[in-house]
Amino acid sequence: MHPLHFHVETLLRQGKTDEAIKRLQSHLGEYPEDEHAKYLLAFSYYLSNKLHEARTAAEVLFSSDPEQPHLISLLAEIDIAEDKYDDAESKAKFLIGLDPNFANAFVLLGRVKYLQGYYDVALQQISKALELDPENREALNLKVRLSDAIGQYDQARESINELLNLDPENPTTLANLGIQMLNEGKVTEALEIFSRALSIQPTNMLARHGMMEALKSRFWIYRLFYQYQKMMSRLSAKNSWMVIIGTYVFARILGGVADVSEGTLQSVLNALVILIAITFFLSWVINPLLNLVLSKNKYGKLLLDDREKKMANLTGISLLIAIICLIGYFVTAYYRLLLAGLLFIGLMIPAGTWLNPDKEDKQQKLRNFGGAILVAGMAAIVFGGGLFLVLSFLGLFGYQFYFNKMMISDFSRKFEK
Amino acid sequence: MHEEIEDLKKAIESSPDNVYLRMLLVRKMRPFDQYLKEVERHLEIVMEQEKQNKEAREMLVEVFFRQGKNSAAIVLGEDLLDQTDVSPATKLILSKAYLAEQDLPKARDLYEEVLMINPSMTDQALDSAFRLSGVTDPFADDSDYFLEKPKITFKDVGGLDDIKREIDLKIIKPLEHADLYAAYGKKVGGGILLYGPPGCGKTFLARATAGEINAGFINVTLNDILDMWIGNSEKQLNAVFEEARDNAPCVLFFDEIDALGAKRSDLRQSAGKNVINQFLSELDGVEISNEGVLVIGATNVPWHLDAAFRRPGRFDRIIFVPPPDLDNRAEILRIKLADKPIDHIDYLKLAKLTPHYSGADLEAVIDIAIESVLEVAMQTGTPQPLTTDLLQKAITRHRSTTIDWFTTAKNYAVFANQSGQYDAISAYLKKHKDL
Ligand SMILES: Nc1ncnc2c1ncn2[C@@H]1O[C@H](COP(=O)(O)OP(=O)(O)O)[C@@H](O)[C@H]1O
Ligand SMILES: [Mg+2]
Repeated sequence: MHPLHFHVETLLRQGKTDEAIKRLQSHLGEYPEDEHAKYLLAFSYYLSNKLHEARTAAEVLFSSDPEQPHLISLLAEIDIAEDKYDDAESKAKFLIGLDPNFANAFVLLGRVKYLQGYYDVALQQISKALELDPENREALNLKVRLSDAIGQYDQARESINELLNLDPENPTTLANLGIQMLNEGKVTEALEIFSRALSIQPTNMLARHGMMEALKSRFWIYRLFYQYQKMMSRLSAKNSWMVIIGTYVFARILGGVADVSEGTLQSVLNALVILIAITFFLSWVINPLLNLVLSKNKYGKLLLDDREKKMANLTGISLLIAIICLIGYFVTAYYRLLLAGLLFIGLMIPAGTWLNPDKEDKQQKLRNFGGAILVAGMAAIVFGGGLFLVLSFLGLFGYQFYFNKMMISDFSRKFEK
Repeated sequence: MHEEIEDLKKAIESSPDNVYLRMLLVRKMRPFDQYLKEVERHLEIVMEQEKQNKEAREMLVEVFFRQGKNSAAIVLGEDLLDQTDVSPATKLILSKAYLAEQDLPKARDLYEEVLMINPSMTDQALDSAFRLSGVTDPFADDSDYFLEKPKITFKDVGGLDDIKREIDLKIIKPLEHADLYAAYGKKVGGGILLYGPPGCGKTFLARATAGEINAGFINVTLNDILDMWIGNSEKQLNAVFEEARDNAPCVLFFDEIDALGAKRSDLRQSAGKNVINQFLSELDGVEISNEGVLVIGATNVPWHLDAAFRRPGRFDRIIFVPPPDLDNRAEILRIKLADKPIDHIDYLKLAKLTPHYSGADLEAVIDIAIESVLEVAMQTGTPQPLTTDLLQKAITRHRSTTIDWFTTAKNYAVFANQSGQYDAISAYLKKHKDL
């Protein structure tokens, strides 16, 4: 092997991708025929998230030799990074066709299926990979994620233990262990384990995510919400909608019954409806509100990303305005202040969610939606109610459905025939 | 082969404008010395047709050189260097041409450049001129590393007074008073490890340390370290330390020393910890007072440093090299502008405008300002001195490069500081809340 190949491979192992790219480029200036260097360049681009360059480089190689497993794997990874799951899937299947004993091909297919939400199919593929290679770390890690996703916590624990045997200091494995602790409601233990994972690798995404969940789970109300989230993520898109619409219809019926009943029954029913409404509302704003609390915390501050901080701040500002308006209303009984207070409570919902989708166009749509509600609400305040009030209320409802539609189609679990 | 050449010649006679064919012929003839004159002629024709044909121009450099036309090769080569990326092979030839013309500094710079790109492109004549054969060949037995005699001293380094004092105490004094240390049987070993954001003077300071005591300086670069992953690292490391001993007093500097280990990776490690252990055992064997060898290491990524480095007796001073503070920035600007045409500069104002800028950032700012002055000078024909205003404009065009580093460092300081190894960073962050 040429010394440069060794150099580059060492650099990549050490995470010095920029340096690797620099060297490969000048090397290829001199040896433009060096195929392995070209592959390493494509791979380095991929590692430093320059996906376009990575694809261009890999496709040139692919056109001259379309049956190189490592090249096809790399192209599939690029597909995945660009959310082109169908393309990645066909590459995985092609790889399996080339060599039915290639464990990593099954891992690849399993991962694609996992990302698409087909947890059960994914688990089948991962099992095949583990049959071929029982110590395949990526397969074991995926098995943990999948078992967790479908609620088979015992199986998740089992795979975690195997991974810990292979490498007790792996931050991702430790983070997975922490998540299991959270599932079991052991917040203190979870916090400890996440700290350990982060002390090994503070940049580990799963550990950072878990640490945040653990910090929020110190509040009992969030623990409830955490379980609710887990439960919802296990449902198919259809069932998620059933739960949402079902609860809504149920609350309406309860309200209707309350209207025609009397005495204690009426107050109990009313209380129930209010409780459901509050829970519903909280499920929208608890995350940004607790993130706001976290952003004052020494650790939380570092764990939150800019999007989360922005949403937390906006939600907080919304809440603050609402509180001031409502206090003003109770003091002055000035009707428009009540409207403003209610409007800003409602606006907490778009304020705390609009940056949640990964794609910018979706964020923009949600921002425009929220902006429209704000404008309609302002008009309602100016005109003291009327059509604009109806519009802004409908807008808020519409926003929730619109948002749910976006997220549920992206993230919910899917079952394949 | 020669028939092919004859055939091609005929083909070109019938279609003299076909550059592709002509280049084909040139490539065929080039290896043979008897064709050199002819090749030269064909290449000139190609360049008349395609002025920017890079391949032709690079070949012509070589053809000139092989005919002993060194200055022609140099003129054309320098032209090329100004305009495009030149292949290492051509650079190597150019370097040899410089050597033949006795322009040693240029020859060396280029040769170094070539070896950085491709360690296996060694050349006997150049090697013996600069005595650096082994470095570049990872499988070679004995290595000779570049030995420099730095001219910069501590006064060229702005700020970092505490660190200068520490270096003085820890490694310069024992060297200067070796007999005193010997008389009391006190052994001084180990080394100093510098870490911090890029461009804040780690390498510069190590060099200045050598200059300060008029010692030699051996810079073991990232390339050398990467070579150790391939070849016989034991021999190579041993050779560097020996080289330092032979040239004592000498500062042996390991830049990007984190590359000796690969802590970060999740991938399986093939060479294991061998390289680190060999390095540490060499380091254990060094005695400053006896041997006059000072070992300094530097890294921008202390979090990728193997824990073995931190054990006592190894690098027992591990020093954070921070970005320059306000006064130091003013001082660095003053140092860097000292030999440039300037018009009373408000250093303090500029320093205030450059929070978190590293020394290298400040240097970049000055560079940008100079470029803008040159641009104007080209148009008007009258060179202007650098002004506060111009530098201020340049500042808006160059952002601090240390801020990203601190973003990562902060995470380590908060989450991974159980044994206190990031205390210095924490303290710095406490003082600089805006980071
Ligand atoms: N404190 C300083 N005083 C003077 N020049 C400095 C200082 N810090 C950095 N520089 C300039 O910046 C350049 C890059 O610094 P370097 O020592 O290579 O940084 P590091 O090794 O920390 O990445 C040096 O060549 C030097 O000119
Ligand atoms: Mg340096």
